[in-house]
Amino acid sequence: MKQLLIITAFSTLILQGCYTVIMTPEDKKITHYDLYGYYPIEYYGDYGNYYDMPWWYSSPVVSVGNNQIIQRSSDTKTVRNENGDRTNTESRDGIISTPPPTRDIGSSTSGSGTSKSNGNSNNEVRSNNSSGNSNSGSIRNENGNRNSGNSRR
Amino acid sequence: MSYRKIKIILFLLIISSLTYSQNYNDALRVSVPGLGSNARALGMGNSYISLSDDGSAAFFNPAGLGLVKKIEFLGGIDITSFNNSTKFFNQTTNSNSSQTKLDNLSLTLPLPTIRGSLVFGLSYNTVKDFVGSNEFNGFNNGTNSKIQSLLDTDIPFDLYLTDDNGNTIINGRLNQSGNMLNSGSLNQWTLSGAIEAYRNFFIGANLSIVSGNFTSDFDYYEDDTQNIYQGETAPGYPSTTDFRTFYLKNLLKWDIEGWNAKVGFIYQLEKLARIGVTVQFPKVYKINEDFLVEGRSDFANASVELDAAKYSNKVKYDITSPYEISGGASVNLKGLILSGQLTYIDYKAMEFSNGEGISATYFSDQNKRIKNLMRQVVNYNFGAEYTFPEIGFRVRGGFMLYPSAFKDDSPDFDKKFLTAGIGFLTDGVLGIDIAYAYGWWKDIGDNYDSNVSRTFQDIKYHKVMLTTSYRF
Repeated sequence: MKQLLIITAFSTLILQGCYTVIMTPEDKKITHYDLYGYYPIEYYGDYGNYYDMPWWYSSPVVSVGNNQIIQRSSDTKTVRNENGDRTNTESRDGIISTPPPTRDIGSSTSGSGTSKSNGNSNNEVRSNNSSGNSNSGSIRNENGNRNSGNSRR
Repeated sequence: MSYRKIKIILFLLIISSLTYSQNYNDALRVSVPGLGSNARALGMGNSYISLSDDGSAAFFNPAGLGLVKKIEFLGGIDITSFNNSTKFFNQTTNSNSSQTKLDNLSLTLPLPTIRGSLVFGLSYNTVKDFVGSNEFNGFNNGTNSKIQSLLDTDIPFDLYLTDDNGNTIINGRLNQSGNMLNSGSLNQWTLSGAIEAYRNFFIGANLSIVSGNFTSDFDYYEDDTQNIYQGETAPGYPSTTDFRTFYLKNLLKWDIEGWNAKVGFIYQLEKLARIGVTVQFPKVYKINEDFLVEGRSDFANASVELDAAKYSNKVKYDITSPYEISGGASVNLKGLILSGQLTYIDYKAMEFSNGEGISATYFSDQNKRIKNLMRQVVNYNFGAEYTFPEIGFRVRGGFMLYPSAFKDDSPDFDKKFLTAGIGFLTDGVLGIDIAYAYGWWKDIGDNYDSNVSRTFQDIKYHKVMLTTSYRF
């Protein structure tokens, strides 16, 4: 908001006593327009008009040095035309994937894991909510970005 | 409020701040300037704030709009390629990612004037892209690992890599590998206006609405390639015999909104030269972050998967970028335009704020770290353009230097770009510009802790940009 106020105040100051004069319908004929000439015809040929010639001039322009006298056509041209990843995820073949040990949701009484062995070693149960480690530390920045720790390197 | 309730609130604050911590890398991502979206400018090394006489003035210098005398439609696309050669424990791995994007659409409307200039413009610009990649693979002979670094979380425990007391037999000597793919871009809709306030003195301002997205997909592996861990990683659980692989996936997704404003000035010294100054006010980015985690441990006869919901979450916060103050000049020597500019950026001024789901004290600490680690820099841009008047053909060249934001970085970490371009003007109506930018710099990254599992990255960046303009 502070930035908007600065811009608004700045614009108001600038617009008072402004150099620019807008053309009105009463301004039928202008005999002189002060072109900037950063792309002068002697070095840019007719291509300089791409930058320097206002669109509201429709007649051919006679350029003479810095102070060009331009005869403006009385009919203004108004016709407008309009022209005009790929990912590379590494695959991990060969990883052994068997059913995981099941988690005993109801077990919450012991800090130690309990085993309900039924002859299938994959059906081990481990209590999840009492591990002796209650921290949930940060992994958000363990992403290969720069990690300064106490000293960046 | 009871003592018990206070304890619960404190606990939740600590958990939330630890689990979803952001850092200076996130602030830098949106604060380091991009390459813009105009081929003529890019061909001239983006040394364009003293020229800016087309619709891209909205990006470079809004005052430049005042130099546009014809109604103009501008549009363009770019192709970006990011190549990363990563050295990791004496092994080098190459990776690449690319992106093609419509990067510019603009309409510039000069109002008829008897004297001076008054011009308005509406534009859509890609401000910067987030294209990036990183792949690495090497054996870490040290007695450290990501598994050990995560012992202050529940992840190793949940993956049966610790005993019931949270201790692990894993003690490094694992093969570590990973791949990261970044994508997305930062775009803005800009309403600009410029006026000739005094003869040859132009003033412009704009207001931009920002939209963008960023995705970082990181897969990380630790493999017991030397069969060191043959016993049970979780004693009492026979299926955890013979540890093979630890896998962790971090998927970071940003939806970015925001706004910013810029003012600019241009003074034209008749046919000879132009001088430009811009002030980019701090940009406010509102980040909607979705952080997803997957994990797995593989053993000889079993594998265990992480409960993704436990470690994934959504948070919101703001990042404010620093001021960017630029000054530049261009001279026209008989059809040869030479241009140069400097941009001052104080990266210490980057800031996190307004976190939802993140404690204020955490962001306060991060803002302190930014001030300790970052520095003030001056970016340099130089460019040249020559027009062959007989055929309307233009050739360009340029150079850019963006010094690293990190305080102690050597010049190897500075981003350097060489640029070249050509342009055609047909009948003074249609302009076609093509630019190519080649960038190179070095970077480092830590998989965990500091300098124990570090990637040394040698980055090559390529961008091809096409811009067409139609003036009438």
